[in-house]
Amino acid sequence: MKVLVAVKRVVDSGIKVRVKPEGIDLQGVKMTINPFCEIAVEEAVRLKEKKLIAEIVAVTIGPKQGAESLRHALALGADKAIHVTTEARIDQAVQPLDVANILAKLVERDNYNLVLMGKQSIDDDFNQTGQMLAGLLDWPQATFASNIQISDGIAQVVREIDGGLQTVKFKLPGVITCDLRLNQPRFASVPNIMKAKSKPLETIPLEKLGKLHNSIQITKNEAPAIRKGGAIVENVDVLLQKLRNEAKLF
Amino acid sequence: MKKFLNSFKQIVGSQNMITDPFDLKPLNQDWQRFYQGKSELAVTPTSTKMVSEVLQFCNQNNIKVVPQGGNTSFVGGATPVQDELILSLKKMNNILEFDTTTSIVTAESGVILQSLNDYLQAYRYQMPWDLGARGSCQLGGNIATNAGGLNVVRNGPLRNYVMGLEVVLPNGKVLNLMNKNRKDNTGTDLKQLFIGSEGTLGIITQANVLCSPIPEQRQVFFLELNDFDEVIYLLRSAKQFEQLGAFELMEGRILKRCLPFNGQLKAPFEFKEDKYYVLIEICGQQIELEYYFERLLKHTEQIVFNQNESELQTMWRWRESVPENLHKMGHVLTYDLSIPPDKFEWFAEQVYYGRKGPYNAFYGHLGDGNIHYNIIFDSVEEMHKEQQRVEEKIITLTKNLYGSISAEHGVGQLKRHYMQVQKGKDTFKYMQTLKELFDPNNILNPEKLL
Repeated sequence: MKVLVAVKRVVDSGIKVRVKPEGIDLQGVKMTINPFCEIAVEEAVRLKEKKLIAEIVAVTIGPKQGAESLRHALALGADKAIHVTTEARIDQAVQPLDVANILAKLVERDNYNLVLMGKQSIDDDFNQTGQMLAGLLDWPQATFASNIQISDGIAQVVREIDGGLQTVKFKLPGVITCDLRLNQPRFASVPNIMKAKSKPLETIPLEKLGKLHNSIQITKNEAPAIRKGGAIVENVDVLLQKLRNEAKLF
Repeated sequence: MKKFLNSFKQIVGSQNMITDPFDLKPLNQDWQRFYQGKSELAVTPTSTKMVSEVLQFCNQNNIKVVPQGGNTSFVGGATPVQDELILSLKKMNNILEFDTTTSIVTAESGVILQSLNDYLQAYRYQMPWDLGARGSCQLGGNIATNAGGLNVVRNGPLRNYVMGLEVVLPNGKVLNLMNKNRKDNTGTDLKQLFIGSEGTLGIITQANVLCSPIPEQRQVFFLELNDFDEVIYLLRSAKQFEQLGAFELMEGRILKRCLPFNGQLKAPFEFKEDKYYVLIEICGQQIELEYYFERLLKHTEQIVFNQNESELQTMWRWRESVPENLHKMGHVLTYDLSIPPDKFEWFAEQVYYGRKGPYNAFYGHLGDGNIHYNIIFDSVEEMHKEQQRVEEKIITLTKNLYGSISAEHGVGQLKRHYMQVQKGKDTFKYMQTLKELFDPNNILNPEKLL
């Protein structure tokens, strides 16, 4: 069984970002695999270790440096990688429907039995790509996975939903998007990162697979308002006065 | 103390006095709760002048005083032994200025180390020393104890970074040693006497500290080695790295036991009791990973490294959680020693042959020869039974290796009785003479250090 794992390269969540009018300042900023995508890679590797899948292919869309995230995925245990190259800003111009279309092309080309990806990326938080991909391929989907079991071509997935946990079952091929509690990705080891260099990495210019339509336009970028300190009030009258005059609640 | 309350009210004001026993409780005991003082009054002066007037008054009336900063001492150095007056520096927490050309920061001694780093970050600088207590410990306390910590292997000791001090002497006189320059060869460097004096010669109220630039990049490697010889072999290679930021050792014996206490924290390895784990941090501009891969792989294949900030913090958390987890494992005798790094394993074997007996393990700043050696007992009785034999053995071994019975934690109350042996009669006598010179009435931090 062959699995495609889609990974996105995002700003390291441990870094403080600088917001400019045109977007997050990416100049010299440390970037890394989107945490949910890393969980997807880890899950694929664990499925392979359980001998439930035979081959893992990691794919990313982005500029030259995107190859680092692919090498990370290869070091964690992916077998091959595909780098769809583009100079467009991945955090703005590379949008869910376009990504889904490109991934669909790759699925048709290489015949994967399963697509794994993170539930959403931490830069745009769209949470759409996996769902759209399943729609385009007319495949079943299970999103927000916190547990994945595969046997005899059937996937059983526990999903994290508002009311608790929901278990769904479907016949592969399908799309599964991964949530936080699915697993804890392993550390990458130095020997594995060195072995990753000799694993196959295919480069495809984006134009060969699809197009970026920029159908979603970003109209404003601003940092969240700085949190003002609270105040302790002496009595309810003062509280009401502040709620009316300062917080302008009523 | 009651008869003096009014006088103190005149000097510091009642808003700067703490008399409520409930509020005094945390000030009367150390964070490990080994020591319990009986102070009935704490003052929280807001200026050097106030500190000076307090000390002058105390000196005249033979009132003993304990200077207190963050109260994070490992040796009971900051808490009263009896009912000494507690003089807390916590309200003197102003950062006065930062000179961007000389990268020297001027601050009052009550500023918390983390606050200094938060302030300096805007200038892309940081304090040259770092330790686990950074969220609570204060500048004055750090200087008074010549705090060690994680950066000594890269930056050298705290002493090198104190450019100037303002000290209030026990008689109330304010000694202005607030030099702001790197070089000053005008005779005996008096400020060095106060650095590491543990509040027994004077109270530090202000300091000028030379700061370090924040490294552009940081990369952490966590390695698993098979025996101690491999660790030393690795240390020798790592010492050649110009960008070496930290070199910390943890025995598998201790990390394995930390597993149940660290919950979901991602472990770099399945820690094994007979292995040795080393954390190496590289920091600098343009870290060339391949350079380090090549050199580290010569020592072991078991190396992981962080891919992002979160993994970096996780790796450090394994090292920094060891001291607090130790105390959850049982009753611990803990020693902070300086001995030649290649002798750590040999040392442990001398105390307990074959490493048998009560569970014993070491960890520490291998890069600068500082070992934290610990023996974990199941019961307090067992601990008390073994304590004397073990300590005598440790003191003798350390002395014979020309080491130190307190590498970084200081002496305080805990290690006073070792001082004569550690220093030798003559040195000890000179230290006592200096104490008598500065504090003839012995009012400052009595029953500590000497």
